[in-house]
Order: sequence, then structure tokens, then C-alpha cells
Amino acid sequence: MLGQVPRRPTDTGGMFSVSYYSENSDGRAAFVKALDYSAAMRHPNSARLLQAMTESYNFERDLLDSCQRQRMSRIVRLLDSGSITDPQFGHTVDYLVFEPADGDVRRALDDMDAFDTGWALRACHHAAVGLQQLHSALVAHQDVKPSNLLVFGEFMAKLGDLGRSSRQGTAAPHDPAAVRGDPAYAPPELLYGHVDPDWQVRCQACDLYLLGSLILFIFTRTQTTAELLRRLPTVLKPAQFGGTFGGPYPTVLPYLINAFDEVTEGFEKQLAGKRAGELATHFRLLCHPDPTQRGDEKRRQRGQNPYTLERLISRLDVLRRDAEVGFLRKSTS
Amino acid sequence: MSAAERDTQRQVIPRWRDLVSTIAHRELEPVRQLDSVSFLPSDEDREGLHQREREFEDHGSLSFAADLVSASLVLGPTPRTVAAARVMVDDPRTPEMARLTAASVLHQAEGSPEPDNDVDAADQAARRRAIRDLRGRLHSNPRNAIKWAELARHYTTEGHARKAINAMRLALAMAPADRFILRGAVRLWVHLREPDVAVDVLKAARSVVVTDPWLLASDIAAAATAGRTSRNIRTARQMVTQGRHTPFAMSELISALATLELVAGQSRRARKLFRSALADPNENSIAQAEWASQHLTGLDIDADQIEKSAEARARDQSVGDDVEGTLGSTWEWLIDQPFSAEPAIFGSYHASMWQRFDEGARFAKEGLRANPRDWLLLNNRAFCLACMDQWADAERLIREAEHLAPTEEQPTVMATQGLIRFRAGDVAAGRDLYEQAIAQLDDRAQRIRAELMLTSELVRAGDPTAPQAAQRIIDQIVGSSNRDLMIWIAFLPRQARL
Repeated sequence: MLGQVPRRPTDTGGMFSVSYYSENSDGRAAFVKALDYSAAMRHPNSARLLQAMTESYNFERDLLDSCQRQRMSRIVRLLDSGSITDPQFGHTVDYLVFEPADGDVRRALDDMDAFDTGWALRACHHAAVGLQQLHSALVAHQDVKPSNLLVFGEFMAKLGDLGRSSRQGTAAPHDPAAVRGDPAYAPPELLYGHVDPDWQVRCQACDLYLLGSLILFIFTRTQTTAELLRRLPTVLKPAQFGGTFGGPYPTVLPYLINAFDEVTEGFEKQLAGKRAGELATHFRLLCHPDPTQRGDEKRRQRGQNPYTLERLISRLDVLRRDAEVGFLRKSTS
Repeated sequence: MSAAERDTQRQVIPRWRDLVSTIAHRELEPVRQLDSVSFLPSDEDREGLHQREREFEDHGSLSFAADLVSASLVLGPTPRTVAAARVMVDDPRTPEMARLTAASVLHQAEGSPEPDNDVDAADQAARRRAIRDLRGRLHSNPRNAIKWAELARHYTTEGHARKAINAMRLALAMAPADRFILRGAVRLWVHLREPDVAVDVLKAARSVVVTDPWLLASDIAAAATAGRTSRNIRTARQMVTQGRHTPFAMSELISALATLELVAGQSRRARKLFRSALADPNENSIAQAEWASQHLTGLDIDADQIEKSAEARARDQSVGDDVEGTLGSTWEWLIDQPFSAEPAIFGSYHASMWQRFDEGARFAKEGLRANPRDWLLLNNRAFCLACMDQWADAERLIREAEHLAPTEEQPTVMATQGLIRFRAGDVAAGRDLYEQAIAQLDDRAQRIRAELMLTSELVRAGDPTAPQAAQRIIDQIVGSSNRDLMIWIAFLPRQARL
């Protein structure tokens, strides 16, 4: 790397990672995520933290390598990875170099003069394909959110930041945490500490929820967890997130379902056009507060994995094409 | 005869309100002090929030504002959350859902109440709209226990008992251990005069009932209404002794136990328990204590506490001469529990006693919507209409009341029939009916009241013996020191009272 440009406002990362926008000698741009060990060393629990950071780095790098090998077209590409030693202070810096995006979905939405339903559905479709590619490799993303849906040019979106992912059968450093991704977007069951021992329910159902919430954000600029919690009184909100509820998850579920129905109704009301109901139904199946009710009910009844996204992907594609010929009115903004 | 009151033993049957009001009345709060501790999200949890904050600072545009507001709703507000919400409200491109969310954040930040979209319980048209709306929503999303319970409540208020039962059964099937739904179910079946079913509903949820004082209270009260003794009284007493629950969560349970003691004649124990229930009472416990205070000496309730319960206020004010206060509080009580016959009976009786016949008829009419087969409401409305000389309508109602009233209550109905005959101009038939009723009435106060009404009608009809009879009745009432009868004296025409 020849030069570094200052951190862009839209770059994200953990507490001890630093992101850069860089160029190499050929002028090819790249996005660099570097682990800031020096900051971690000042932490009171530095030894454990350094170990966790190293494990996280290795886990993410290996996962990205694996995605690359499996040609996952909707996962952001890892261009390079390695370690360098800071010549001045002697610190070792681990880095990951990614293909550079034009920004994330928030910026793309704000740059539009008017909301483009076709474009929005394309972005949703690409996010769903990205997740399905990961799920096929028994990987769950766990941190799908607007800042992690990266936009490349006018027609391409990819999922980025696999730092909180989980791979079935492989221990990840962040596995013990109930909420692995950003808690602001996390499905309600995890905020209430209800962790299903089954990996599919625990991780893939979480991804479905996050995908549904991303779809909601793209169309309404709200997200499901916030909309659910804002409809609950303090006594029913989780104890760690502004509430006092400490009971088992099934006891709060009727209230979450009630709030969720209101969110779904609001979403459907806001959408217009022939296929609006269908999109709201997909949202409902993705984000249901009961993780065992998410996904494809027919597959569940047949004893198959209900969290597969194949059908949704094909329907989103149909909806996108419909939108482009005007079945879904461009009326959500 | 006259309008009448139902002298029933009050039990702490749970109030049945919509979810928002139930929450506002704190009846979904945790039952233990330790359960009600709120923790803050950890620094690590909030890291993403600070990231959203920095992004909003740099971009300031709609999606970044929306992302920060959403994250703040989960992880708590940041210094920039309000500014972000303002960006959302001001941007014409903001989708409607996001605009509502931002407006709610601004309302909260400014401490102003959010616009109230609740159905006005006093408005029948609004209630019918609410039923239509709920049915439509349940058609789309039928697996919503809360909405089924809400629909059951609206159906009950509109007098559709069978539909209410079906809706409540669905709610119970979906959430068989939920406090809000179980207490609503108890109220429904007690309202439908099937307290045994209420007891059975709680029996099916025994594992939660024995750990939740709100449900234990409902169980004891429902069993007492059914004339049974709850199987959980020992558990309830242990719960009181252990003192592990908040005083507020225990208030109904202690009131229920206090009522059992009162009925058993254990006044000292009842008084002690009622006082304990009033340490931090809910609205229902205050009303229960106010009712008990009229049967138990030395149980004083703070004026501040009485103020918090419309029923308690109505009962308290009715003891004095504050007719406006009594009727106003009774309307409030009826609006709070629009399906309940009790406030309508109480209101129609007290309005009648103070000769506010139009208001009395309205109270009874409101009560009859949810309780169309309540003979006493029919009787009270017929009485009020007859007093306003609308005897034809009164005749129709009293025929229905006669058909529905149990044998022991027939004299009351017969007396009202007498009044109607008088007002229809048939003095002989009126007198005959009154005399038959008086002969059958066991209760002395009721008998005197019927005699007073008969005399009053005879004076109006110009019977020469009536003034003398009036004097005799006045003497009897003065001798009885019955406060209500003293007020009823005003029914005698002025010349008979001189």
C-alpha cells in the first residue's frame, strides 16, 4: 500500500479495528480493515483482549478465504490479508484488504432523487442471495444491517463485515455472546436472552430476521427491533435494553407478536401497488418474533430446513421485475 | 316500587381494560422487586450506537438520521438522537412509518404526551369501528392473542356474549399462561355469570397462578363468586407471609383474603388485611376497601387513595349528599368498565333516588347494551321512564324484567308495574299491584319504600286518605334513620310532606 486516505464516515468496525480507504501503486482503490493492537494493549484486560482480537482476525480471514474459494458473488471480496510491523513503534498490525464499495445502502438511498422501488428490491434480492450463499456453506452472518450492505456501482450490492459470523461446527471467538452482532438490530429473542441450542434456530433464524429488518429499513427507514421495542412499555422491554422484563421469553411473546402485527400493518399500508401485500408477507415470515415461526412453513412441516431463502430470492426477483414495469408504485418516499 | 340496588358481596374480580390502560394501571408490572431492575446496555453494546452517531454527524441525511434514531430506540438516546429525529420529521422524503417513529421520539424528548388513538369507551360508534378494525386485522394476522382478547372485550361491551367467548377461547389457546389474558378471561366469565368456568380457566393454568399474586387474587375472587373455596388459599396466605412480592403486586391478593375474612365474620383480621392491602393499592383494591368500609367499622381510607378509583369515589360520595359527584364518578366507573352492570345499576338507582330520571334512564340504557337480560337494569329503566310519564316504553321493559327476574325479586318488579299502571291512569290496578308487592316484600326498607311510592301516587291521584298515610310513612322513615329512605321522602308531593 502506498498511501492511506482518512477514515470515511461510513466505515464501520469493532472497538479496536481501524478502517482505511487506500490505494495501491496501480491506483486501484481498496478498503482496509486493520486491527489496532496498540489501543487494545491499553485496555485493563489486555491479554485476553489481544487473544480475542487475534482469534477474531483469523476467524474472519479464514471465512473470507472460504467465501472466495466458493465464489460467493454477493459477499464482499477479500483482496489481501497479512501483517505488517510498524517501523516506528514496532507494533504488529494485522489487516484485511477488501474490494472498495461506493458506500452502503444508506448513502445510496439518500443519493436518490426519488425512491426507486426496482432498485430497492434489487438491493434486497442481492442481500438475500448473499445470505443464502453463506447459509449454503453453513455460515450465518449474524450482523446484517444497513451499514453492512455495500453498494457497488448502480446495480450491485454485497454483504460485508463477516466479523460476527458463525460457522456451524466451528467455534468462533464471539460464539458465547447471546447477541453476536449489533444489538440495535438483533432479533428480540436474543435481546431477551432466549438462545436456542439448535444452530439453525439460533443463527439462521437470526439472519432471516436481520434480512427482514434490512428490507424494512430500505423501504421505510425504520428497523424491526426499534419498532417492536418502541411499542412495548418499560415493563415488557428486556432488562438490559431500557426495560424491566426479566421473565422467560414465551411470556413476553404475545406482546411482541401484537407489536409485530402493528409493524407489519404499517409496512403494508405504506407500500402501494399490486404486490405490496406479498412483500409484507415476506417481511412477516422473515421477522416473526418467534424464531420457530420464521421461514418457510411448508418446509418446516415436511421436516426440512425452513430457513432456506431460495423461494424468497426468486420472489424478490419477480417483484423487482414487476416493480420495473410499475406494479409496485414508486410511492414509498 | 322504585329503582333498586343489587346488594351483592363485592369480590376483587379483576378489572378488564385494554392493553394500554392495563399497562397504565401498572397491572403488568413484575411481581418482585428484584425483577424490576433495569440494566444499561454495556459499552460494547453501545459502540454501534456511537458509530451511528458519528455517521449522522458527518452525513446529516435522512437514512443516517433514521439509523441513529432506530439504534437509540434500542440502546438508549444519544445527545444527537433528537436532532436526528428532527431531520426525519423535516425531510419531505421521509416515509410515513419513519415519520411516526421520529415524531414519537420528539414527543418523548419534549415530555409531551403522544396523541391518543385509543377507542373512547363511551362512544358506541367508536367501539363498533374498533370491532370492525380488530376483525380485519385478525383476518390478516390471526395468531395474535392480545388482539383476540381485545376483541372479546369489545364484544362483551356490545352484548355479544357468544362471540366474546369464542374470541377469548382463541386468546387463551394462544397464550394460556398470560396474566393479561387470564385476568380478562376471569372477568368475562364472571360477567357472564359463569364463575365456575373462570375458576376452571385458572385451574388449567395452575402452575402460573400459584406464582403470580395477581392471578391468585383472581382465583380466590372467582371461586368466592362461584360460591366455592379456592384451592389456593393456603398458597396465597404463604405468599402474604413470605413478603417476597411488591406491595402493589400483593394488593389485590390481600384484598381477596381480607374479603374472605370479612364474609366469615372475622372483622379484626379483615380490617388488618385491608389496611395492609392499602399500603400500595391498585384501583380495584381501593374500590374493594371502600366497599368493605361500609360493612366494617374502623377502616378508614385516605382521601388521596379514594380519588384514584372512580368506583370508590362514587361509593364514598353516595354516602353524603353530593349527587353531582356521585353520578359523575359513576359515569367514570362505567366508562372504565363499560360492560359491567354494576356501575349502571348503581348510577340508575342513585339518579332515580335524586329524581334525575333522565340520567337514571341513560345509566340503565348504557348498562343494558352489555347486559340486555339484566332484570334489575330493565326495572330501573322502566321506573325512570314511568316517572317521566313514558309509560308505554316502561310497560314493554317491565314485561321483560318480569320474565327474567327470579321469584324472590318478583315483588320489586310488581311494584314498578304498579307505578306504571298509576301513570297510565289505571289507579285501581296500580294500587292493587303495589299492595301485592308490599305484602310479599321481606326487606323492611324496601317495604317502606314501596309504601312511600304507593302513597305518593295516591296523593297525585287525589286519594283523600293518602295525606294521612304519608304522615305515617314519614314517621316510620324518621324512626328508621335510613339515609336513603330520607331522600326518597322527596317523592311525596309537597302538600303531603307539610
